Amino acid sequence: MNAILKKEINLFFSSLIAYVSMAVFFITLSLNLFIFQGNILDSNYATLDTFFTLAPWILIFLIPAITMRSFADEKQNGTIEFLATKPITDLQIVMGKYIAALILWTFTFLPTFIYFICVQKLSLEDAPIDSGATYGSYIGLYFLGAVFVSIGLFASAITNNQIVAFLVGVFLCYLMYDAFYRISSLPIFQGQLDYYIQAIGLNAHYDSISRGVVDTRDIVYFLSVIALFIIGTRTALESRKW
Amino acid sequence: MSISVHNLSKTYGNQKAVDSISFSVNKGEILGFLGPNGAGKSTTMKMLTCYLPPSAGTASVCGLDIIHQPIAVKQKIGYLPENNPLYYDMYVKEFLEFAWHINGMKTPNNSQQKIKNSIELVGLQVEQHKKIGQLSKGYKQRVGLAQALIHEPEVLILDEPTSGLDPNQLADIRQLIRNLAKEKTIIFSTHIMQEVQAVCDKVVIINKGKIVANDTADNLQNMLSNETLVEVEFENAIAVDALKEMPQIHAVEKISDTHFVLHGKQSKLLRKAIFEFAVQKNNPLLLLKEESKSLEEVFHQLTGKQ
Repeated sequence: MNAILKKEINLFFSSLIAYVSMAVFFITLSLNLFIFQGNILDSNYATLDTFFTLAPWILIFLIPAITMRSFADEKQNGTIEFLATKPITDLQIVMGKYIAALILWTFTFLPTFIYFICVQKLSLEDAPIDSGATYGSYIGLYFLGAVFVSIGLFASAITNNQIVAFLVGVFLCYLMYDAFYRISSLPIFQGQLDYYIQAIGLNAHYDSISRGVVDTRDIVYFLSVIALFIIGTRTALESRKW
Repeated sequence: MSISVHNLSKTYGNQKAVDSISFSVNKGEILGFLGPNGAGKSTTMKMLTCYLPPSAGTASVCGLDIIHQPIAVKQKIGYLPENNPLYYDMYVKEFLEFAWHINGMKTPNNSQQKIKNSIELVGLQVEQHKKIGQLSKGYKQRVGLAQALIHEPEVLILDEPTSGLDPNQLADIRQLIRNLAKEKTIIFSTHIMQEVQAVCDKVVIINKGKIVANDTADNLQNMLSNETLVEVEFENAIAVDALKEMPQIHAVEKISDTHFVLHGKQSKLLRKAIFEFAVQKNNPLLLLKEESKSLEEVFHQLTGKQ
């Protein structure tokens, strides 16, 4: 697994993938937070809500773009046969790639703490930023990214075409993040199933953790979704054997 | 026995890609795996390297079962897949280091020496600092061989290792395979006959998923060579009927008025008779050349349209 992890990390950081994805994420959010209309300097509230509302939507596109080549490319070039005939299990291949993409997501995520420090310094003493809620939101956002990475890998493992992998990844990320929430608010589910349908989606758990209460149920939920998609990815890889 | 295959089958839908084949290879032997395109050579190799599971039957590599001990089997094997898939944006040394680690080799202090050895073994010294994508096809093939050799496996499985190489490179790679066989067991597939004649101890010919021949290269060649062909050329024109007067000759193929291919048995007697015939007719003999049936013809006979 370490060999795969090292190879993937090298690939991210020796090409432009890592730097472009870090730059795209940071620049887009910085513009919205500090410069574009509706920025926090104009609104006069010490809060990062703009950041935490917008970030998931950027990740829906950014993370499938990072992960789209990981399996699709290996399948296209036939190098998957090289990996699969080495003395490692399919799960080790998947985990190596998952952790590598997770490390890249971590490097993309960490610079956003600058926003927190900025807002903290800018805020007045009698109206400080709500640190509890902000830390909660950061934890929620990190898990959200981690879930998207597993979804992106799954999308990449079911095809050998990178574009298809990207589009399926975006769709599944959107489905998990927003669609369940939207479906639950359809009139036919009102007052009956709406709570449960909402709970399937990522949005509800992201919101709940953002309030500053780190509930183990939410953490368990995020980890379960990650596990589900990692198992799905492994199953997709093993489908050659069917 | 290094490799033993027992009633191995692979079915894709209704199509039987490999149909109940059995063979074995001993340590130190080179097995040539021969057949037309789509005969099931690659599928068999993919099953032996645990990439695909067999639909029925079993096989073992160094006494380890390919179904129940895939990780241990894969450790014993160096595999060069068909079309030689490589990471084109990796450097040669970087890739070989990756191959070293992914083979589960734990001693990193040893790795540089092993990488150097395998680079020297396949003759990659000049190109070792380049990216794989920049190399020519022949050198890419050498990188593929180097990665298969790097962990010093007991068994080498090479799927068309010589496809797309120029004649010099062909000779190099064949020589390399022969040298390696001193301490390893090798299976390699090809559809080039001369290669089998040049390199292999044993030959398995496979057609439509079934084994049609399984013997040593020499035996296979002798199998169909009870007929001898002799090419002759005389100075002056001669009639076919006149040639047929010789009792040793069964058939005559006419190339031109002076140039023929004669079919007969017992090559030595046949050639002697031709010489005496020329002397008797006072027609100088310009060419007398024996053509033995090659493995190529054996292959055509065994795998030809049925």
